[in-house]
Amino acid sequence: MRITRARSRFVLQKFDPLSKLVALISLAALAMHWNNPLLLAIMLAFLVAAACLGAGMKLGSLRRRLTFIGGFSLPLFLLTAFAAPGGRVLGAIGPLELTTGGLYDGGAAALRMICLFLSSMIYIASTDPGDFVIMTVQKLGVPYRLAFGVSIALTFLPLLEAEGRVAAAAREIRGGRPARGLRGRMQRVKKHLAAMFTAAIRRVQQTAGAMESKGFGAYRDRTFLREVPLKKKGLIMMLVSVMITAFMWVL
Amino acid sequence: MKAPVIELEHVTYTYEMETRPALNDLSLLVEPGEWVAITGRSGSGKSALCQLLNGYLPRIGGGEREGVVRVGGVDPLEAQIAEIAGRIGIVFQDPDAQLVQGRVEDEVSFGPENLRVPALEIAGRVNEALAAVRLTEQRTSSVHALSGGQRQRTGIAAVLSMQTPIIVFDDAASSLDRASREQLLALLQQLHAEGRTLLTVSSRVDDIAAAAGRLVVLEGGTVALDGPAEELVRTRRDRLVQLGVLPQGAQPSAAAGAPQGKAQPGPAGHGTAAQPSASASAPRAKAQGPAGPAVSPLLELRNLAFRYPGSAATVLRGISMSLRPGEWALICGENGSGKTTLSQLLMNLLPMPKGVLFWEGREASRMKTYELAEQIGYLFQEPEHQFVTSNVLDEMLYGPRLDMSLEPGAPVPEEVMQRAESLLEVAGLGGRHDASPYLLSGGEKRLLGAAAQFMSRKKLYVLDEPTAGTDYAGAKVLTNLCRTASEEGAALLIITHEPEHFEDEADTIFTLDQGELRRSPLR
Repeated sequence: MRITRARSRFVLQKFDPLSKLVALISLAALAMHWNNPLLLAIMLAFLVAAACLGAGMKLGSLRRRLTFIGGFSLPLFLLTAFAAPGGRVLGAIGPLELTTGGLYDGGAAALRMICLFLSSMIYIASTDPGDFVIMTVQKLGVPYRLAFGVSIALTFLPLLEAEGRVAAAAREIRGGRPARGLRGRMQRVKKHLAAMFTAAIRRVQQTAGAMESKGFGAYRDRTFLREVPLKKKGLIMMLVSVMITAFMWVL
Repeated sequence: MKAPVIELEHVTYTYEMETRPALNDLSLLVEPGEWVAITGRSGSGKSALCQLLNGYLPRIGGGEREGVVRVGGVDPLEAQIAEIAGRIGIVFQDPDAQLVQGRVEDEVSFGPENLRVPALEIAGRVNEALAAVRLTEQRTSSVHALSGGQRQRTGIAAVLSMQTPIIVFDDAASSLDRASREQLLALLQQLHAEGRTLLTVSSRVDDIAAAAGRLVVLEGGTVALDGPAEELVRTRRDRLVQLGVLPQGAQPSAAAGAPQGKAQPGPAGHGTAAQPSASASAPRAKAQGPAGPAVSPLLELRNLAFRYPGSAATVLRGISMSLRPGEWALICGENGSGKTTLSQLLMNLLPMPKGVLFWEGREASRMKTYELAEQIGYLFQEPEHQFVTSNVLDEMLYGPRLDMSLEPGAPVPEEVMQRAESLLEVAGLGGRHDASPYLLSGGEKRLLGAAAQFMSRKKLYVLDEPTAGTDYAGAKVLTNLCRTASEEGAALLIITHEPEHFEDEADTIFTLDQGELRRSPLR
């Protein structure tokens, strides 16, 4: 008797990890290929809709994550905008010229980064790490130790997020008022990140110990109680993803 | 005598970054099929002993080991993973430290899958293990959605499914409710009858320890007492009280047969250097406790109903209660009944519905957690969750420094430092000022968390399972701290599976049952 997983609430959760992985790779390929910020902005809008409606991500959570990645994509935008001038000059700051071409390329680079990040987040949010391991080992023949490694990496961001929430709650409970001034905020962020990473690393160490105590890594292969079947709708998703990507690629 | 299945000869172990050994020249032999209860006060080396047995220490956890350790004839430090995983299973003290998968069923099948057990057999083992811990209905649930006690039961099932000949339960009952503890005891008896070798570890001579054939008491990392449990309880009671593992005044029969009995009021056991205050050693007079009905409530809940965002299930319904200054209330209830959810709502750590929470007569659902925390002290169920500094003394001084708007690490007034040192001494942490809070034992972490809360004077203290995993001396220290706070006018709301530690002093006992709160009669 093999057991398959329980029913899921959101549409993307109903697809198997492999089909979604193919869709994710297709999207990533397209994002890397496109250099038009308008197309990438349309892709971002599609991904936001998919995150909320398909993966059940809350708008507040999505906003926090996009703000986080925005912190990295803004410097990328500025760097590209000034480092790759072209077209009409719009203005200058000292020797640096802001051009229409630079804005175009900078916008594309920043949007590409956000799209890649968000599509990965959707995959993580809608995929059971256990299903990912089972499918990659059973269907793709990936060594199980590698598959578990990837699965743990997939859960590391949510783990960091959870540890961050606990650390923030601890500080509030211990009487920590919101920091004032730039220096205070920087110090607060520094302490918060330190506490979060300490807790996350400790959790990873505990997990490694618990896995080893249950025989993880004892043999070259292992058995699985469950199996995650590749269903018709998964095959259709893979096919449609590849076809749309091919169509958009040559468009 | 049969060949021992566990051999420890002159074992000394020192944690990384520590200078004092956790185990000190410890020798112990366990025969196949024996049930040995290992007990000892917090910090006596129990968890270090368990973790040496499966090689976690020093292989992953670091530190330095000397002496001979053999489990089923192999040294866990040098053995292959399969050799150890097939011989010994360990249920850790902290449920979160042993769960590696997302779903209950995946957790329970994880071990047998690693040991290449065929899927059909795993299915049977998973069914049996889940039934044994009453989690069949939660089979496909996420472990993150379970209560602390349910997560611990998942950890137990995950070890049961491995069907190892030796099983170690490292204080596995500390976060379980009474019904689950009774069920665990029955399960242990069944496993023992099947011929498994069992090591059950606890900070007290409880019903599980009393049911074991042999009792080993650790003190300072070495064996202080070793013999038949019943005989030791009968003949060495004073010594067991002195070691902090029996309550003062307990009768031998009560301790051996039904140690769930009340912890008697009185001074803490040997080893506690001082009481928080001189008046704290006597039980509090209830008549002087809660202010009369004329006094306005400090905290009031009016018909609270709650369900987690995105969930259809109502966790709490129709909850109404109030607490007045000086009142001491307990909330009891089974694992998963909503106790911790309720306490987190009181601190606005979860989204509190509007118009149901009132603090000093003011609607408080939109108060920030830090605003409430200025007047309410809160002890997390998992003490590690509230640590915010890197050493024990700074943890104690964190609140006072904030109260006085001092920079972290800045010197504090002498009287504050003396209070911190005095509380640490009482909690048995006098010589551990520089130790990392994360490296303390489970009971020590809990005592540190509670002591840190009592450093700043608050109007209300909400303590979530303050005595879980502590020895009797530690539980008495906590009771005394609460009593002192109550005598100073603070209200107390204690969530506990162990009302026996507080019910002599409590003014009100509530029971939370499937999300509904009812007032229980005082005993």
